[in-house]
Amino acid sequence: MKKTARSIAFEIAFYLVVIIMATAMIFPFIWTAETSLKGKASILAGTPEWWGFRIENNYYRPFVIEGYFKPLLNSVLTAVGCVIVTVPLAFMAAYAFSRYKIFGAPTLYFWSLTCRMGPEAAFIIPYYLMITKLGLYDTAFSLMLVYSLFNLPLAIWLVKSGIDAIPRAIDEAALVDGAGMSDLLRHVIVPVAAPSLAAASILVFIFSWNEYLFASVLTALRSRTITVGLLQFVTTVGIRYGEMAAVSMVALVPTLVTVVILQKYIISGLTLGAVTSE
Amino acid sequence: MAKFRSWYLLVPAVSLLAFIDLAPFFYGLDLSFQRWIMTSPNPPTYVGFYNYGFLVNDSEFLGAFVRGVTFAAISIACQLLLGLGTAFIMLRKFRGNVAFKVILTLPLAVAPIAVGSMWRIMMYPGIGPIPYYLKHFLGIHWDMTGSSAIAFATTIMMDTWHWLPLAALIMLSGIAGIPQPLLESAAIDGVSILQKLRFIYLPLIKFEIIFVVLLRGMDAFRIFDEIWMLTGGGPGNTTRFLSVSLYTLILRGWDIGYGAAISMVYVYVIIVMCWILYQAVMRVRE
Amino acid sequence: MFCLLSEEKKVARRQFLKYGGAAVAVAGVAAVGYMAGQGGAPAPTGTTVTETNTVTAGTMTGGPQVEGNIEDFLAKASGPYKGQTVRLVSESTASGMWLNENKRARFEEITGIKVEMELLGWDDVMRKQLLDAQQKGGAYDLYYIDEAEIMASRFDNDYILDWYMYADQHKDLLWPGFNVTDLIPVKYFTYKGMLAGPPFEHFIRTIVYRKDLFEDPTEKQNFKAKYGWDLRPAQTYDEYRQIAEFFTRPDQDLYGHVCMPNSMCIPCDMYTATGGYGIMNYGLATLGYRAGYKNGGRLDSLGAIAWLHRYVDLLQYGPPGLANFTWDDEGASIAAGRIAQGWVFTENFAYIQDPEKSPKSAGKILCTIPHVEPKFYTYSTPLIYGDAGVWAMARSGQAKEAAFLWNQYATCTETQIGQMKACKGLAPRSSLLYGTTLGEELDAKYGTNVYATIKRATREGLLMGPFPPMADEPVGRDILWKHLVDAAAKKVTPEDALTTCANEMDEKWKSLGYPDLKGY
Repeated sequence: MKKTARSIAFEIAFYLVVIIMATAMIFPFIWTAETSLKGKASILAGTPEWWGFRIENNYYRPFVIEGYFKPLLNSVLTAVGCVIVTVPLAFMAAYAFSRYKIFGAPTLYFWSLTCRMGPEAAFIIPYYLMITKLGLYDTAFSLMLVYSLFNLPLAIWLVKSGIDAIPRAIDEAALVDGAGMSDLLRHVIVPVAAPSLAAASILVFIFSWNEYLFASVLTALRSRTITVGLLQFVTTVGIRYGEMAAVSMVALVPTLVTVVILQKYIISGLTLGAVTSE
Repeated sequence: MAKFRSWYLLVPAVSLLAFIDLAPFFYGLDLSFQRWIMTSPNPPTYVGFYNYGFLVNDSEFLGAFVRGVTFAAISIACQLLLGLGTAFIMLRKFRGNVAFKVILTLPLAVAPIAVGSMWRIMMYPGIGPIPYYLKHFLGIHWDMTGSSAIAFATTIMMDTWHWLPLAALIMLSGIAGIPQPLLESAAIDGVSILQKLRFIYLPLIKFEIIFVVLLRGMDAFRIFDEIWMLTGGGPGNTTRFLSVSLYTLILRGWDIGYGAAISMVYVYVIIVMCWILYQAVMRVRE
Repeated sequence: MFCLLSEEKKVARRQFLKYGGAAVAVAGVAAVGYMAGQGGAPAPTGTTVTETNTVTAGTMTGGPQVEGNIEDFLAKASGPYKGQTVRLVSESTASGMWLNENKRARFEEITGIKVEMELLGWDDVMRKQLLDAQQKGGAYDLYYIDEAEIMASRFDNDYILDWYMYADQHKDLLWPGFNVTDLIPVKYFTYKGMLAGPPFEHFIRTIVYRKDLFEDPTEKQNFKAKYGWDLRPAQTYDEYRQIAEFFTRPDQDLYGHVCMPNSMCIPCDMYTATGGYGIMNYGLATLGYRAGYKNGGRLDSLGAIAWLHRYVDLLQYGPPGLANFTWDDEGASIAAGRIAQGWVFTENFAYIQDPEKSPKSAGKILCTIPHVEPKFYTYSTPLIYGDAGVWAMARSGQAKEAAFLWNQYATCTETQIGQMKACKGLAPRSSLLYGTTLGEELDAKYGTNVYATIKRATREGLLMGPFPPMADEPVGRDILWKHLVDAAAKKVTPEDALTTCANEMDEKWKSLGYPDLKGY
């Protein structure tokens, strides 16, 4: 290609934009990582310090002394439990929606989407009352139940578009072969719909891990998740920014790893609904 | 019979959802007709439409609503525009392409509350580097705790940072789906960039655009965690969007009945807005 | 969907309707069930207005002499309750955290009773308490209460127990050497003769200033040259203002004033810096329940308006972001060495005076009592806002006896001595304050005068209690903060802010049924 001055300038501008964008995206992470290594004095210094500060081990106190491992484990438990509760139900419902003409399907479908739309704060008091009445206060199970409010619709949505892509011929072939419904689902549909099931599981996991409001209302010490634990650093003796940053970094790891590695599946799962028609 | 079994398949999911969604909804509806302040020793009493009558005149409620919708609108617009630009950038195979994509996807993984705390650490005047450098190099006084406009702008920036990757990736998949011959013939015809944008790209990724708007719209109206951590409602009440305002009312003012009435109205309005978007999505899909 | 249904589909539809209808019906019944299950709150007891009490000096002696110490007593008394768990939710204050880290394990060793302390932000604490109490969920045995109106609300709603009555009924669980009236804040937490519990923390709100700056010869010279009087802690508003102006140097990151105008904290700020204006209780008159001047209150009186003018005026001398400062931010900015003069709660001295945590401020901060027009100063003028914290026993708690024992352990003299040494700005027991030299020792060690100031405040009767003990006070506070914040942001003038506020409040009290006793 002819290297005109214009195209060189264009190249430079392009790379400049790329670098600026990348920096903007990654800057908060870097700053938080730095903050997680600083002591209180250098955080509140007034002049941001990039290097040469005294490194303070902010990871030690929360995780070893104050037992922040527990919230971390609780987060894992809740998120995985949520996946176990949500995805099978969503799978069955998605199959039904996909394969059968259900009375009021679009309305039912939209209604399940609306579950995600209301402001969370609206649900706090009713949920608190329901969960306490059931005696489930401060258990991971209560969170799994409550999270299905917004996870189920999403999972149904994703898995349905995945199942839509499977030609009915496969169903019919299996039925002709004499398979019962559960066989059909388990052995035939699941393997083929695996990518969208995986996408749904990943998204349910991420949303459950990241959720804060319901966790803070419905848990006490025993099943507190790490997102709620983050707010414990806002104390009357000052906001412990260093430890808050440290715990943030650790809490980031699972979702970061998941999203970066499995980003392809997530996006394809989300947009699959676009490509296939009903 | 196979046709019957379909109902069985639906029942678990639907009944769980009904339990989790309808029970609180009806309870909230019932609450909205009561006057109940939890800290007061007066018992809850049924007052009919008193709460609804009150909220029509409540400037706080209307203000929160307007602020929330403005925030969502500006935020989504930013994400769309920047996302489109980013999608075009990612389309090109340049050096460091993969690394760029990975870096871009990072913000999606962060928990909303962690997003709020990360941005708080970054932007708080006196602690954060951004206000410091803005003041020293550009003389801009970026005080998000003092100025309403700046707090609002910061929340929009934060939301864009968080969700821009999603918009970019979705639109990228849309653009990637545009058939090559179309683009080639356009290149042969010598079509300018703007015209290409208007007549080829935008119409063909119409679905992705509306999809992003719907996806983000559902979440932008009810944003809570990030804002709460970043500004706590902002200087005064500037960044008290719907959810934040509702939370403050219910869990600080303890006016449960009024809070329930407001929730009903919010839910209804948001559902109507999203329904319109949803119809648009469905229509475009053909 | 509706068109041409085959026989099969009709049957299928009926099936769906059956199941779907059942699901919805179940959900509806469940919802109705929950609604029905919500009993109304207990019948309201009549609320009367009690004046906030000023605190006079407590007992001077250390209480009755007893055989054996509290640990032996607890080990014996806790016999039947071994293995139980006391659950409490509390604000993450310095003393709460200290007790959690230092005393909880020891208590478990002695008694075999586990204590689970959930330390959260104030908002979350109140929320969890209230929801649990209202639901009688029994998730918590002790509730943290730090303000009189919250205590009043809890008592009126029958959510907490009266400590006096409980101690009477369970004499075997009360350590004979436990002196509860020795605790200074008991005055705050008494309501209609009932006590919420033994307070475990008590701190005051004072003005602090930087010793090194005030004693620096160059500064003193410059100050004298500019204002004509020797630099010393302010005793009137004008002096305070001049000092603030002098020390506000943004380029040096030094500021002359700090307070907490955050919307959540600003009603608290109203109590401070009011020296001489006598505005307390939201200006409510002692008889009759109205805030407006024309109705007998003081909220929009000339004094109050003057106060608000001055408050708003001082805000210009604060660090950037002052408009959103909470009590934490105040303390943090002082600890960072950015404040030459300002307001703070002495509980923050736990870290402000700690050389390890705050090298920039340790040893340099001195307290002084708030400025007041000299002509208004007398003994027992309520000048200084005193705050305290108590763990009240929940009515729906499941381990009441164990909680009662823990409360005693957390507030007994030995524990308090350790707490004073660690937290440096707290002093609930008069016997420790006046009967020992602990206060002086701590002051000397950290180069400050916190305890000297606390002693002076209690001795001269300058302390005013927290907010008016009425259960509906949050309603008033909700109205108050909006207008104060608007005034602080200069959106309205102080006159308009206070007048509108007083009118709104009066309407609110009227609508809630509080009488206006004008004419009596």
